[in-house]
Parts: sequence; C-alpha cells; structure tokens
Amino acid sequence: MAENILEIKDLTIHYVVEKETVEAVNHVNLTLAKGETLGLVGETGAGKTTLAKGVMGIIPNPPGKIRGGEILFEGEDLLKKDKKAMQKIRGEKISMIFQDPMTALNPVMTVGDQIAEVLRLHQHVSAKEAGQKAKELLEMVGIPGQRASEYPHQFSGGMKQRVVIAIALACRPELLIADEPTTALDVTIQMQVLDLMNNLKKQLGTSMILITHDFGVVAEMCEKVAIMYAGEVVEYGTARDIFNHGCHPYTRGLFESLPSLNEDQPRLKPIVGLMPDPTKLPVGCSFAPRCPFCTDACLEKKCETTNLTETHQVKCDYAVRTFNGEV
Amino acid sequence: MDTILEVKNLKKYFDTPGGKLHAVDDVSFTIERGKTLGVVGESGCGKSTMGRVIVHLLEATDGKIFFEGNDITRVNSAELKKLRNDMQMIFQDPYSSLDPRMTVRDLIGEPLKTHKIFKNKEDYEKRVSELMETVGLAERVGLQYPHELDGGRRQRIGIARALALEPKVIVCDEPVSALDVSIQAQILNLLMDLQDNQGLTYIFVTHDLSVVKHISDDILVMYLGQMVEKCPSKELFENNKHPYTKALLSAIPIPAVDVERKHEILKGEISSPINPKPGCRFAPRCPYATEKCHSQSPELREIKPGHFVACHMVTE
Amino acid sequence: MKKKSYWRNVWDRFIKNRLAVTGIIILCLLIICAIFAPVIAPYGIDEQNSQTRFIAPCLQFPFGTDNFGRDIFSRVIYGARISLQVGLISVAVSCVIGGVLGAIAAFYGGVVDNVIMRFLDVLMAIPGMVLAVAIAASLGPSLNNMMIAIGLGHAPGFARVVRASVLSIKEQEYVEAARLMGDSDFVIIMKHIIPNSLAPMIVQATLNVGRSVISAASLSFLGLGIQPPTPEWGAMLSASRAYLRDYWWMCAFPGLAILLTVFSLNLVGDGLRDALDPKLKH
Repeated sequence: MAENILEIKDLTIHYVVEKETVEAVNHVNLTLAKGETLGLVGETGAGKTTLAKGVMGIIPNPPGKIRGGEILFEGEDLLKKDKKAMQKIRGEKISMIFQDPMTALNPVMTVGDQIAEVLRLHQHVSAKEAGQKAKELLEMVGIPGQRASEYPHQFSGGMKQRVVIAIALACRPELLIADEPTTALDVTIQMQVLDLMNNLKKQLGTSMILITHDFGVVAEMCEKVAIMYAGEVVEYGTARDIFNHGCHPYTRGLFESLPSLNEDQPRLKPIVGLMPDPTKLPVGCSFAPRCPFCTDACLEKKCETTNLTETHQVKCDYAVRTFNGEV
Repeated sequence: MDTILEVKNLKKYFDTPGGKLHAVDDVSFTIERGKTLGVVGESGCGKSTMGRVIVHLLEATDGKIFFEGNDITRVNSAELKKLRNDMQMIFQDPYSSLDPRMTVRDLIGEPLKTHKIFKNKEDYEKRVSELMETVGLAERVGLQYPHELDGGRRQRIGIARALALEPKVIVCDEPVSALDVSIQAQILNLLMDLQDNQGLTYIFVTHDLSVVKHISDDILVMYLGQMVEKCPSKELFENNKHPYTKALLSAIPIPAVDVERKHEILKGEISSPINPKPGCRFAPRCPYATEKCHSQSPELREIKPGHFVACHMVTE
Repeated sequence: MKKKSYWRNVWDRFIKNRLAVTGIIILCLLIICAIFAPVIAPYGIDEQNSQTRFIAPCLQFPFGTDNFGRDIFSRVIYGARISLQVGLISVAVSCVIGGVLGAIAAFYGGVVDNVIMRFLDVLMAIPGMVLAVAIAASLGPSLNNMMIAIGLGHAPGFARVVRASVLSIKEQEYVEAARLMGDSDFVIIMKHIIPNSLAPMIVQATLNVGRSVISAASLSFLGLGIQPPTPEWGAMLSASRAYLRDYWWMCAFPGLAILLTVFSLNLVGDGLRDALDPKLKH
C-alpha cells in the first residue's frame, strides 16, 4: 500500500457564535495516499470547506474551535505546529484553490507579479528569477508567457482559474486542496480546467483533495471518495466502491436525485426534507429524519463506522446489511 | 397544434462603450401550449437576456413576439399589465430575488395586491394560503422572513409568487442552479407537477444539460446570441448535428466509473459579443471550420421536421 | 402565531434594544426640557446681573453664569427649544431633498442621474457655510429660513449616500421581480428601494444633527440666524470662545448639551437601523 500523505483522525471543529455551537465537522477520519485524489462530496453546509480550512490551518478563531483530533501530514500533527511553522507549510507543502477565480486575484497586480510574489516569499529567489519562473508556470497551465504582464481583468474566467492554479502549484506543493475549482465555470471551460489539473497531477505527482458537489467531476478526477453529511463522513471508499456499490442511504439518495443523461426518468426521486440545523444536530444519526430506512435505534444512537471491504467504509448499520445482501 | 408563443427574428442589442453588444441576435422559435422549451448555452450566450425580453423586462431591439396570435412586441402600459397576468418569471438566485424586508405571505401576495385581485381580505388570505400549499410551503413559515429559510424553500416562494396571477407562460431563469442536488430534484418535480396540473408552458433557461434533458420537450442551443440548433429533446441527445452541440454534450463530466471517457476538449474561449465579425460565431473554436465558415453566416435550416441547425457543414 | 405588520415587528425589535431605548429616553428628556423650559429654568433667559458675572457652578447657579451674569443652566434649558428644532428640522429637510434626489438619480440613471448629480456637485463645490450664508441672506434672517439654508447645504451629502445604496439595491433581482408583478416605478421606489436603503441614510442623519446645530451657531454669529439674546447652544458656544481659558463652564455646558443630543440620536439611529433589518432579529 502506498504511503499516506495525510491522515485525519477524529477531527472535530465547532464554531461558537454567542450561545450557539455550530457543529461543522464531527469526528472525521480520512486518509489520503501519496499521489491520489480524494473527492469530498456533500451538499451546502456539510462541512467540506471547514474540513479543508482545518487542514490548511486557516480556521478563524474566534469563532472556530478545533475540539479534538489529529491532522497528520507526512506523519507530523499540523495541529501542534505553531503559527510560523504553519505559514511555511502553507504555500510550500499544502496550497489551496478557491471556488471563485474572480475574487482570488488581486486586481491591481499583474498576474506575473502575483505568481512571482509566492515564489519570492517561499523560495527566496531573486526578482528576475521569480519573473522567469512565473512565465514558465503560466506556460505550464496553458497561458502564453508574454501575458504575464497583463492584469486579471484582461483574462476570462477560465484563464483566471488557470492563473490561480499556477499560483497554487508555484512551489510544487505535496498536497493541493481545491474547493469547487470549476463550479463557477462553463462546461466546456470546466472540461479544459479538469483536463489541465489531471495532467498536472500526473506530471508533478501532487496529491489532491477535491471538494465538489458534482458527481461527474468526482468520477473524472478522483480515486477515493468521501461522502459528507452534517459534518460527518458517512461513506468512504474508492470511486468504484462509491459509484458501483455505494450503500449509505444518503449516498444512494444523492445518486437518485440526479437527472440522468442516459436514461429516461419520468420523475426524480429527491431526498425528502432538509439538512438538519448544525446548531441542533439530532442525538442519533444525523440523516435519520430524512432516511426512508430509519429505525428507532437510528434515532437514539449513531451507527459506528464499519469496514465493508479493505477500502470501503460506511457509517450505517442498514447499509452494512444491504451490502452483505441481508436485506 | 396550439402555438402559445412565437418569437420571430428577435434581436436585443446593448450599447456599450466598446460598440454594440449583440446579446440576442436573430432568434426564432415557437412553443406549443403546455410544453417546455429548454434554452441552453454557456454564460454570455444571451439566454437570460432572451427570457427577459420575452417577459418584457427588457425591450426588444428588433423582431416580433406573438402571444396567442397577438403581436406583443410593443405594448402600452395597460396591455403590459394584462401581459403580466399571462407571463411570469422565476429567478435564478433565491437569495436576491426576494425583498429581505417582507414576510413570506407578503411576498407571495404582492402581485395579488398590485393587481387588486381580491376586494376582501379573507379571500386574499385564503388565496395566499392556497398558493403556499400548492408549492409545498408549510403554513407556519408564512410569517417568517426569507433569510430564515433555506434555498429550496426560498425558490418555492419565488414559484408561488410567479403562480399568483395564474400565468400561462413562465420563464424559468436557471431556477435550480443555485440549489443542492437533492433540493434541485424536489424543485424540478414541483415544476413538472405544476405543469401537469395547470397546463403551464415553460421557457426553461439553464446551463445544465442533464436538467434540461429531464424537463424539456424541445431544446434550443444558443451560442453568442445566436441559435445554433433547435430540435426535440430526444433528438438533440441522440442525433445532434451542430459541432457546438456535440462539444457541449461531450464536455459533461459523466457521473459513473468504468465508462469510456472521450471528451472532446474545445480550444479557446467564447469570443466577445461586441461588434461580432461576419461568419459563423463558433468558427474560431470549431474543429471543422472552413474558409466559408469564417466569411459567411450560416442560415438556420430545417433539416428535418422540427430539427433546425445553423451550420454550413451539416448536409442532410 | 398572529400576523403582525412590518412596522409592528420593527417596533418590537427596537424596544428590545437596550441602548436604543436609553437613547430615546435621553431624547425625550431633552424634549421635555424644551417644552417645559419656563417651569424648569430657575431664571429668565435674559436676566442680567453685573454682580453675578463669571460665577463657577454652585448650588445657586448649577452651570455657573456667563459674562453678563446670566444663569447658564436656564439658558441651556431654553436653548434646547431652538437647537433641537434646528437640528431635527434641518436634517429632515436635507434627508427629504437629498434622499429623493439621490433615489431618483440612481433609479433612472443616464441623463437624469447626470443632471441631478452634476447640479449637486456644483452645490458641494461651494463651501457649505458660504452656501448657507447665501441662502439665508437671500431669504432674510429668521429661524425658518436658517433651517432651510442648513438643510439645503447638507442635502448633497445625503444624495450621494442614498444614490450609492440605491444603485446597489436596484440591481437586486427582487426589484426586477417587482416590476414583473406589475408594480409602478413609484411603488418600487417607495416599497422596495427606500426601506432597503434606509440604513446608511439613518447613520448620515444622526451624524448631521450635531453639524446642523454648529452651522446654526455660525449663521447666528454672522447675524443671519437667531438674534441674541435668544439662547441657542451653538451661539452660546461661540460666545464663550473669548473666555475659554478662564471660565470653562461657559462652553462646557452648551457643548455637553449638543453632545448629549447627538449621542442619544446616534443610539436611536443605530437601534432603528438594526430594527429595520429583519436579518438581525436575534
């Protein structure tokens, strides 16, 4: 088995706002092997972005509080690092791409300077060298090097996202966290960017966490998939495990809500109800109120995470029974 | 055949400092009563502008719009008021399309008040409750404000408000693209039920091809303000002709493993709709473009009944 | 759950805000002082006494006396009548004129916007004081004219603030939705745009009350506003300038009165802004 670059153990992150506690991430366990891409899938408010920010060490405190757990990056616990060490790790070893390429760039700096700035900050190279490397990086993401002296507004949305990727990859990070990197882009442009990211990943051997709500993007990009619901990972496995043998009622509900391009469905089968209020999570399973297979036991107590196969884990006893063909 | 809406050579240009922006350029189509026309295209292709011109939020630059056989392109304020009863719109963003200072009931009842539909308060309140029930909003949320509700419920308010005047045509401008998949499915089902029960006609503007396939009878594909292809939904997915339609379909990420992934990756990006050059607008990105494509605009041709394509390279 | 009107909800939220209620209590006390000045004030406004000049605050004269031997406490109490009027009414004038002009400019845009805003730019280019002097001089010196002059002088500032917030609000889809419902422009402005752009206007208004009181003092000083011996806080302040070093109480108490007014209005303004926004219910 490949070496794990990232291991998240029992991570819990809460936001405390006045008297209310938002339980954003609850007892999450995840592992990511070197060179792999992990897809983090879930709906708005599932805690995907909070988890990513936790790994980056950029949870604002207050109101964010890390209540427990470990984030082992290359064997070292990031939560025990001081501010300065984390700053060094961010950008050099771990970097992040945000959803909106329109706001991620500084409008009054040329794109070349913005890339060079990262290089100078982390690699301490001369201005001239950094400028040269910035051009190379632009070429790498498919933008002609001479456009380095242009400003962000002269680029289209897809081009800006390429620049953002170039900045994120400037220091050859070990781990790239991409938060909905193509959601704001059109389909044809999205395909260009996904293709680029896939190629760069192969070329540079970067490990990646890809946050998205789009199963199509996951299938295109990821080896591993984690399904998040109300701050918990409810199912985790390889892409094949999830797409072909996904058995958590929530995972199945998500797949059934998708309109399909290949078959005719007279009606969609949405998941009934809404995600629970993260300040008032139910005592039992968070999904129980919306689950068609909910029992009294589900309302009282959360299920433990069970290993179905070596790679496939699920947090639902009913799902375990269906997987084993007992139901 | 009962044509409810006909659009002929519709144009909408905007004056910008850089020149004329051709947002909608020569679009023609008809919709049958009770059917759904899906309008797809990438950002900036003019699909939302077209929807707004049809409901008269924007004035057409040129062309004609017929509603139930009457020319409604230019209307006076009395006719416009009548038109508001017949055509409504559901907006994309359930967060900015509702006045944050109004309660759910007030939002839904506003069109009823404006058009003075009810003389007594009881009938009015009854109708609001009825509308809330139709779209699946619990009575108890009636006095809440939109910010206290989630995206799905907010979009239900938008739908109830659009239904209040019992319109015949509803332009849906990306009504589900801001919603999560499970909520998206709830809203799509609701829209389809409403169509069945009330005989509504939809113009469904979206960039999401799987959604448009699910809900539409006919699909219109737009590129830089122009129609490139229009045909029945099934035909578009099985027998599409235009290279842009092909590229668009091929670019959709497939949510399955163990499938063959052969994405045709389009080069380049959408060019500017300001003072477009003559010739096919897709030509700069088209893998099959010839000399002729760059110099001469392709006409929209009906290659078989109900299937329209604007491309020089499509022969049959 | 009973149906409550929007304004009833606003009131409920306002009354729950402790600071805002404090503000309104202070403001009410000031208004009561103004109304019942003859009952509260121990002396007349113009009772001069050469024996009692420059007396420091004591039991007999709680706020001390001025250079004519007049009781400052009585003059501050009477001054509330003029100063509160000037402050509130001139701000109301600039609110209405500036607010309407700004809203119209932003809503219609294009030529209308250009004409209105350039006109206001011209007004802004002239120093406020000079403008107020010109208006007051042409209308003749009186309390009402002075309030109009100050109100007009401050109107361009309001117009700018309102225009900026209306510009952002009119882009919201709910304004488009309202048009689709068949609402007229007037209804859209009154029902959707103004209520949603009130917050910055309220802040501007509360801040302007203090400025108006001071402007009134300057105009009075030039003989274009209140004529002495009518007491007015601003005028009292400017009269005390010469004695600042030796007799602090002459300027301290009228100054405190202005401060208290502005402070209470600020509290009320903040409370109102929060109460008008249903998002801040908790």
